[in-house]
Amino acid sequence: MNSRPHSLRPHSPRPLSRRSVLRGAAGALISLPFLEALTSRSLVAAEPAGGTRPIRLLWLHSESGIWMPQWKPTTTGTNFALTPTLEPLAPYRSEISVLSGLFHANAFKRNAQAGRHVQDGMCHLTATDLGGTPGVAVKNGISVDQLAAETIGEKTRVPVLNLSIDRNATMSFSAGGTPVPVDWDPREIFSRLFADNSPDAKKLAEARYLQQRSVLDDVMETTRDLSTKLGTTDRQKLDEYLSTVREVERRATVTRTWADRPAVSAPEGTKPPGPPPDKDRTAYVRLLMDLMVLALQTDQTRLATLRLGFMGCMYPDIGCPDSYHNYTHHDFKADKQAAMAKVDQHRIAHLAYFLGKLKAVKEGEHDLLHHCVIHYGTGMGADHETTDLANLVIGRGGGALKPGQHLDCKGKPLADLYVRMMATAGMPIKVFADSSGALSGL
Amino acid sequence: MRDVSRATPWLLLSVLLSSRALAGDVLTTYCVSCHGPEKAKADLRVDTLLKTRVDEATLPMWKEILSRLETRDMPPKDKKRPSESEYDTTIARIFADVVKVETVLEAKRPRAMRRLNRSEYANTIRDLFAIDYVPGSDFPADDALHGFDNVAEGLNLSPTLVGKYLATATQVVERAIRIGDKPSLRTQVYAFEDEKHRYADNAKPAGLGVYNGNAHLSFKPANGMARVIYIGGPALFARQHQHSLHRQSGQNEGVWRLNVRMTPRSFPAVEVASFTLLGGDGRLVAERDVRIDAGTKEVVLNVEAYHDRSAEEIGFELQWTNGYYQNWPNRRNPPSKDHYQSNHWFLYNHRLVDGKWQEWKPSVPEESPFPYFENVEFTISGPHHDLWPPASTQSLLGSYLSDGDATKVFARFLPRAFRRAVTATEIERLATLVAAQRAAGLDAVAAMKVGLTAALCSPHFLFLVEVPPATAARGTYQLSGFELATRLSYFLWSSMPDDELRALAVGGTLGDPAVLTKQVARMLANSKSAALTANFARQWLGLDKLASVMPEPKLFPNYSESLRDATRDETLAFFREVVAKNLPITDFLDARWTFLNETLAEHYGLPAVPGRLLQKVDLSDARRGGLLTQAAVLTLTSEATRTAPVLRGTYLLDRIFNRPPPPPPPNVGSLIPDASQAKSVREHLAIHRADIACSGCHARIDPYGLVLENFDAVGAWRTSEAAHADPTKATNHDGVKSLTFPIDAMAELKDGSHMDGIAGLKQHLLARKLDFTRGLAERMSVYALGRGLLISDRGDLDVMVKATATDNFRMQSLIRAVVMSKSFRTR
Repeated sequence: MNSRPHSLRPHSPRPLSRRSVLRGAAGALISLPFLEALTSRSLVAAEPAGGTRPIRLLWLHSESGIWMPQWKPTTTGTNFALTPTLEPLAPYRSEISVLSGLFHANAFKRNAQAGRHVQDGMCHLTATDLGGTPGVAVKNGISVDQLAAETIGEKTRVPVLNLSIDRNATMSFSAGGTPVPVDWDPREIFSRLFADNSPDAKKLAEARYLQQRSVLDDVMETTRDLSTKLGTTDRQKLDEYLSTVREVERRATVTRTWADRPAVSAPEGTKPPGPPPDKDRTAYVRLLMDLMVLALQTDQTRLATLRLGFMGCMYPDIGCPDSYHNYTHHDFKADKQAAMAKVDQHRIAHLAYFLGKLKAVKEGEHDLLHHCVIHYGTGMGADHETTDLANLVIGRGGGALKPGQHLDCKGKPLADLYVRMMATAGMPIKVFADSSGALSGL
Repeated sequence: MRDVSRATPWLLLSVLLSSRALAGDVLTTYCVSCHGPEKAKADLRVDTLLKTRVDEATLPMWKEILSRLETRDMPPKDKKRPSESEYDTTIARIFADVVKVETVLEAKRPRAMRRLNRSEYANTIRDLFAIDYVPGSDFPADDALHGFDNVAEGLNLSPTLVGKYLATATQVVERAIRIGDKPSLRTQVYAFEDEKHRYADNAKPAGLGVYNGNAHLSFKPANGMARVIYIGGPALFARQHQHSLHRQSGQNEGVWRLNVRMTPRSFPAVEVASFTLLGGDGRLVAERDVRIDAGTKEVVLNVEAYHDRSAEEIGFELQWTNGYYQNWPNRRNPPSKDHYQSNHWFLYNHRLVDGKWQEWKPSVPEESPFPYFENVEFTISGPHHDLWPPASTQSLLGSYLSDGDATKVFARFLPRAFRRAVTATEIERLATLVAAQRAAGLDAVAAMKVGLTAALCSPHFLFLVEVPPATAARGTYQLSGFELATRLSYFLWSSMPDDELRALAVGGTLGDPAVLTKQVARMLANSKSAALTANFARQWLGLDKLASVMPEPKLFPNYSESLRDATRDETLAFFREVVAKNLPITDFLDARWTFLNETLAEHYGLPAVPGRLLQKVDLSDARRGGLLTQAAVLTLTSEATRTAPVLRGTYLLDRIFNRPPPPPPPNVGSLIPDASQAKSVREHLAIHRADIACSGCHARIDPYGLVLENFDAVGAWRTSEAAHADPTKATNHDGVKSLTFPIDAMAELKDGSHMDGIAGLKQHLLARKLDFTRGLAERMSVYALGRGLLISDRGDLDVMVKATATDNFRMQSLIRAVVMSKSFRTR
């Protein structure tokens, strides 16, 4: 984490480099054995119950834009040439489609309170006009991952995995625009995925469940009693509380049913990870990617998001000591544009690493990547605008998609792509945010 | 922040008009040519509208028409316009109809119940249990509606939030009930007895349990030369490295104290050294300014901080802040990437030689002309518990541990938690829940924790419950004593009523005007009233936006995090002073005083104010004084590279007068300069205003921004403006040629009068102090009531303005008037 006191990262508490130094040092040591622990024996996904392989939907976000001239292929169609930024993806060229010309209109609406960078994270998966609710300066809508989780989330132990290397930077929002906290601590993510299913742990969980249940029952009864005393005009919020408490109880019950299903253990040889390697961003990003692969291959989740950074991210290890955001204000200077492109390529190299891991996991006749649809995108273009965004769609969605092309989407909304992704995973959702339908041509 | 509902037309009218002349004739004469069968501009057909009465469906259109007439935006200046008396009579006629329809509609609207927002929840837990734990940091943020995050309708519920309520209640109860052996008090001393040689020895962690870190001692001499020396070893912080052993057991939980002693050396005659102390969790614990002169033998700092059981580190971090980072020539570029990468770059000493920064390592500090400290000693001790079990546990449980009687616990606890008298049935119900838990095998304490958790998830705790008879019409139910006490304490304290308020509620005398007056004064004198600043003032003035502004560092190299914090704190301290000293609210418009620290005084170009802590200073310079001259406001209404008069003008109309202009029509961008020509911001705006579609509103907005043009995008004074061919890409460095324009801060208002610069603006605002009073009264009422304002509140607002004006516009008279109002005391 950035330690310099002048850093202007939004919502950041007082900088605390000392802790990150300590944590970073420890984390770097611990993460490496974990990375190596994925032995070849473990690289086979769990056999699905029904026989067909589930489709996984993933969203990876790269903040503060992209240096477009080094990103965008010059020709469309299947014969496009990989640009310098995309070069690390050469081994997976047949698995990726570059989408140009997707428009993210709502993220560019001027908002009195949320600046471009806040919009970058908040709108990326919601495509919502934050200022669209009268009387409210900033109000978000549901994000595509959460919407998808409403349909298929309960099929897995973890409905959706929202990861970020920045603990404050979520891009997921539940219905009504409530931010969904991200998971950032590798230890906690691991224990969420591979819960202790020992009889003792089960007993403890059951006792907790029953206590929680008595509390919730009591609260619901109290709420109903109070509600009857009130006139209809006063009752509304209370009824909303009652139904929300009921929903919490229902979810707790769903979670409990998972406790009775056969435990899933991490693939053989996997070591539980250590604390987050804050200081070594490469190690951190890749550790989270490893955890995503683990979650997908063991079918603990089918939906995941990963935010690769925040606007103040610096990449001194590749010779770009200033914040990426600073480079994006490039003032037409070649060195800054080059630095931008360098960071872009560095991030794409992370993606290549991730694809490599997915490809190494066999699933039936194919591999895990074959059953994924991955969106990699930036919420801005080269100059904080949203008219031409960098977007990749990767994977075949089990055969539904034909990647390997550069497609000009000619101003279609980004939300169209999200609708298409959900459709690929069998979700009959026709309308999302400002979408005009499912994106075709993929 | 845009807020359409606040712009209801009755608010746009300052007087109730009585004339009932026919509006239709005027509208037909002046409006139908553009808004009729032939043109229907903006999709508005006045001719068809006139055929119906004002009703629910047409209300929004009538309100829009009212607003356009009131501001004289329509008809446009180049068209035939009604006379002033025609304007007035037409407005009055429409207004009367609108009021009638609104009143009927309001009666039907739901009255949302307020739930505690995040800060109210935390404060309430603090006061309910007397524990230091601050819950709620992981709650989803509350939406702000009508400009405030305590407005009932905006306070949404989600499964995430309710899940957090449940988990947090458990955490709170865990910390409120602490039994078992008293955790032992531990003391550790860290001495830096020989730090003079250690600065270069970073590779080896120094002994004595000291670890690497960014604590630093550095110094900026009084003459303003940013010379820096690092003295004090690689790290001057200390911590107890015991978290892994005791983290879960609560053995470290409690208050820890730090005592620092150090000997100043080589200090000039008089200097103020500023220290910041952070706790082990990184939270700010204290800021201290210490005056040091040649005779100062020793500097002693004593601080204490609560460390929660979940804290990853127990300890403190000391920073000597008025030096080093703040004075780095280019703070964005550390000496080299290697230094930064290793996180040791701050260890290197640099000094300015002939205008260039050079690395410099003095061989021994004795040779140094710079001040430093030696014989530094840290003593850390904790956890301190004066009482065991802690007072919080004792007052909560009473004799429960010996007699196991849960009813006694709830009989004491529930009236405070639910902020009212409770029934025997309510007590019995929770006691039964506890009994059931015991029957299921839990011990007495664990079972009680479940019962208390249920109480903290009860709607009676989480909501500010007011129970009017089911049939009572809006505004007819007089709040009970408890309900009034609750409204009052959440207005002034953002927390639960204290014992005194509760006693008055029981006695039934709280509603008495003399009693209420006394209580308001008492509550404002209490330190808990800081919440009014932290929650009301912060949101009224939109200060949250400061956290995300990023002035372009090349253009504003001095804008640092410490400057940003100082500007925010100035504005907050200013508000707090007006409340605490009961000053006239006109001080917000112009004042001869403000709060400054070293950084801010320098930024304003005012005489030095040594130290980091803000101090109240008298202003002799009339260019400053009042909210609109404060850097926080001027910065948050600017763009990253330039001033934005439109944002400033809008801010003023919105925050000062509570009359925000309507939002720009869709598809209108912000100021997009013509890249081919370098122009001043003023010239760009003039082009904008020349467009007839924009002129209506911008003629009202822009003057208020243009008169502030002497303040740059971070609020520093300027007399000229560097303009670039493309301001969004502008840099004034590296050979990009720019033109310089002298600042012209003259502006013409819609009525043809002129304002010149900040002096003219202050004069204008003071002349409109009644409008400002009304604007502030409205804003404050929204916050106090936790709801948007209604047509039926307008009588109350008239009274508030009058009461405040009569008492020389004193702040507390306004607050009192809000509390005395009918709206505040009824539901």
